[in-house]
Amino acid sequence: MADLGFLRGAAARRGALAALCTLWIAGCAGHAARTVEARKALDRHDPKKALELYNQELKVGSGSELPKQVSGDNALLLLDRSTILQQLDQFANSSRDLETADKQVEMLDFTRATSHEIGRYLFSDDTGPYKARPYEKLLVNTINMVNYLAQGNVAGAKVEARRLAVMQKYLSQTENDPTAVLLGPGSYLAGFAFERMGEYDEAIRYYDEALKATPYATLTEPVRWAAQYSGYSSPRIKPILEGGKASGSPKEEAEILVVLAYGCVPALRAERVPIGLALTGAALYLDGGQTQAARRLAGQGAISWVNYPSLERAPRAYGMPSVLVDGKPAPIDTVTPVDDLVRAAYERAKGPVMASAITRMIARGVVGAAAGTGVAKASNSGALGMLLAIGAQAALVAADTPDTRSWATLPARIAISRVRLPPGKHTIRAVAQGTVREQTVDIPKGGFAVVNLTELSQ
Amino acid sequence: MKSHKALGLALSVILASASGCAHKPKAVRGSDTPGLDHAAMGTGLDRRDLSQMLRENMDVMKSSRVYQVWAQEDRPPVSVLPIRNETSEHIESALGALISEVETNLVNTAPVRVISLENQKSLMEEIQRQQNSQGAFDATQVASWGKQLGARYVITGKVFTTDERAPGAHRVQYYLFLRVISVETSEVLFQNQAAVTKAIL
Repeated sequence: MADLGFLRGAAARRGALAALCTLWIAGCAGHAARTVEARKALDRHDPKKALELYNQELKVGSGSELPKQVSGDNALLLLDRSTILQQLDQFANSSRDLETADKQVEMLDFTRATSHEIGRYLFSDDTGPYKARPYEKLLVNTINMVNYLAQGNVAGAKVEARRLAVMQKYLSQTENDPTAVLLGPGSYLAGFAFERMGEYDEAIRYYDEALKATPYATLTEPVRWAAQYSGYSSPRIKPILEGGKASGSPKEEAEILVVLAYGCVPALRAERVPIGLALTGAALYLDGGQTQAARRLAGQGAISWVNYPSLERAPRAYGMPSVLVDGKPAPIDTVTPVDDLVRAAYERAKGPVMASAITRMIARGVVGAAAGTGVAKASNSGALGMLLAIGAQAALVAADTPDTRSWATLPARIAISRVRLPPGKHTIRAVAQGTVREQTVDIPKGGFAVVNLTELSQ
Repeated sequence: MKSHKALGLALSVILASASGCAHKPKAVRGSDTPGLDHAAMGTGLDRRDLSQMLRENMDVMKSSRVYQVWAQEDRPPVSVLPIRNETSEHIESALGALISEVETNLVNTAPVRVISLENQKSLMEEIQRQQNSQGAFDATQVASWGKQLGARYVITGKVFTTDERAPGAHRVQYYLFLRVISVETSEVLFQNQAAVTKAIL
């Protein structure tokens, strides 16, 4: 029977309790681990299975249900689920998930309690609320615009367009990188929604934003048309207007807009990086004292690895999608590489995140040593103190779940195809990632149809 | 020794707070939970906001010329049409509730007969379809719907927002415009605006 007498001291009991709690926290899997099977199902072209797995994580029976708690990491699970619902043509459910998550992400943005900061400092970046990246915030509204437009609800798309504009304005004031706030497809769809409502001045402003991000060839005619009702101009709009006049009239014709969202962005995964490599990567973000302390701990052999979130390997090239309207090829306009945004954001955050992991490692070293000293004094046993010091450090290392939270089911690419046709019945055949969508639409004079093909396999 | 006790205690507290898994949600009833309806839950419109904006608009309407006109007629038929959402929030269901509130207010206080759009499903669907897919309605179009409903006057409106964000804050200012249109002449007989502000700070 082991002698547990050393646990009689109050300080020792608290130390043991702390170690137990830490081990319990270590049992929580990161976001990547929770969603890996669902993402594999998407790769197998099985979105129904992916939805089922997300529903299990959210503890709901179907995609039409919201979890009891929509806050915390469930908000991120809802974002993930929303694109899968869109792939399954459950546009209304997808909208509901996006709108719920959008509100929660906003609340989480404003939440950063001291306990979260301490948790981040001591345990893991995974502790504390999820902070959405700029491109994720802009894509919430972009993807939801697709949901509304696919249902023919332009008024709903306009609400999302306004939300996008508010977010873009906010991010342009707070983000250092101006390219981070530009998202071509979002502004394009916003312009389309306002154009369809006959609000041409708003439409041309959104189109200008879209052109700032991406040189969409299919915007030439809409810009020329909208300019007839607006005095707005810009260095991007002017050459389009000087190049010719609007031909035909959207009021007399029908219009088809196809949104192709395909591939999947790389998710984050937990990785262990050798301490030497981590110190090199984080060199710019650590002061001399921190680097010295980390090297000392590494030299003592106490720490060899740093837990760290890295990007999963994912394809950098995707096959070009295609669209046929009534059997004739429709041009695919500029493809937006969302995965490039994800990679760029990751590269920007890499150094500070690695530095934060090293800082935690140093803090753990100090806490472990202090806990060991406390127990050694309380139990008059240096060996026990050392044992607890090592145990506490090991437990804290295990608890350091790298923050792998990200919107992992975003399409890697977004492309748009847009054609004007005579009113009447038309058949659209869209192909992306080997998945085919065929849809027949009947469009009245001056009307439109938005067809969506979301295919989230890598 | 004291410092070690403090360290142990601090570590436990930190661990407990960092885990953050203690909160369990429970269902509550408004009548059992004082102030439940008063707390703002977000930047959307809730019942209190709608009531406030509606009360302000209806109070002005009661003292306006349109009430005098109605009083002189023999309870003219009036319809309330959907209110347009020109905001940055999905408040469609709240605006749907607002129509019923306006109707209730008219039934109880105005010298009019209320013809509810709800009784004419196909027309309601047509108006909603057009509202969702077309631009702003002009008074003539609104008047033509009024004719189809058998109304002499229609009440319609729209809600706008000024939506701004700053680090750590999000403010949405709502403006509800209500107006009364004569079906016969398409003339706007009454128009008023009421405002509320919601924010997350």
